[in-house]
Amino acid sequence: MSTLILFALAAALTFAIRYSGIALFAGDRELSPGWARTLELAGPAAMAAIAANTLLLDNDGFRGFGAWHLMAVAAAAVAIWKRDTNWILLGGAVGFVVFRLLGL
Amino acid sequence: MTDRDSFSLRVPRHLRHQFVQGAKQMLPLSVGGAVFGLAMGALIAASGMPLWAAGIGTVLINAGAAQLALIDLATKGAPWVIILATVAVVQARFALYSASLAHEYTVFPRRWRLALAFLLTDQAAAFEKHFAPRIPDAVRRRWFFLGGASLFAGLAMAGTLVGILVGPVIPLSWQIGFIVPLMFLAIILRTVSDRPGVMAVLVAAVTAVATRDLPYGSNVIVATLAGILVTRLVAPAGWYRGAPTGEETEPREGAP
Repeated sequence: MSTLILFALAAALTFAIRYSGIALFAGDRELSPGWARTLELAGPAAMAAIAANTLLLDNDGFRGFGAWHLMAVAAAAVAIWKRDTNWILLGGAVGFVVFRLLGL
Repeated sequence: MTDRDSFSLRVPRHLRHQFVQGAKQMLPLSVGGAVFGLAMGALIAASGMPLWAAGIGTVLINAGAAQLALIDLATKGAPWVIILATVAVVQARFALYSASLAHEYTVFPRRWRLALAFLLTDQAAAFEKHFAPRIPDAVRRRWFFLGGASLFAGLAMAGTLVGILVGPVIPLSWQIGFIVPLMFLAIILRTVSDRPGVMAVLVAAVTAVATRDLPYGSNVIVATLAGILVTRLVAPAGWYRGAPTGEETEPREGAP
């Protein structure tokens, strides 16, 4: 039940954020450039922090070099070739499986 | 046609047509959302969370990146305040999207604004900004938006629920947790290309590692704030390509 409550709180929060701009800027008010830039940076910064936290660290400190790191390299290589989220996901996942099969 | 009719089954043919047209335009992007959902569902199944609660939560939240952050921190035992603060920061960009759509939505009845706000995703926001000028009639426009946004959200949720059902058969040795960084990397690599964005990513990543010993997984929120603040202080205004408010953008594929 606590998991459901946590999800419900997160859902209420995400909905409030989604509706905030519609409610606040429905009239003639405009979002200031400074706030727009700050909000623009929030997504990349948060996602990078989570990605680094899960990719480079584990419970005991730094994650040992292996399939996880090489998976990220594979995903980046695919991103250079095709700037498409689905291709990047596919390339990273296939890379991870291959590196695991190679014993990394 | 009255507002009372607009959510009933007695929807005129031309509005049903708009709904279908919106869904058709969104279909290619929605396939990506379903794939993302499938992987996330498998991750949820491996996380040890009660599957029924996570399934209901998936429908309630309708936000893939926020849900991934929640799962990651919850499985590490982070306190709720840290989890919710991180979710808020991950979702902060939606305040920008909704502000940029406020002028489009202002002519819609409130229940339509609420429904479309719930269905708002990265893809739906770009989709709606792209098509809004091409559909001047507000009633047709909202049905078009509803068709596109609901298809994307519906397929992403369906993919996640299928992943939750299929996930338990995946062995732990497969280390399915690699999906978390991979999904975030995919979004970053696809969407971040301007200098302030790259700077925010690098500062946040380095800070997350440097502050790894902070308790309760709070290094994520500290790193996020560091990425935003350092970039805002260092990056000159000329580096920004312009916030998406008011500009037309192409819809793009990716995570919900």
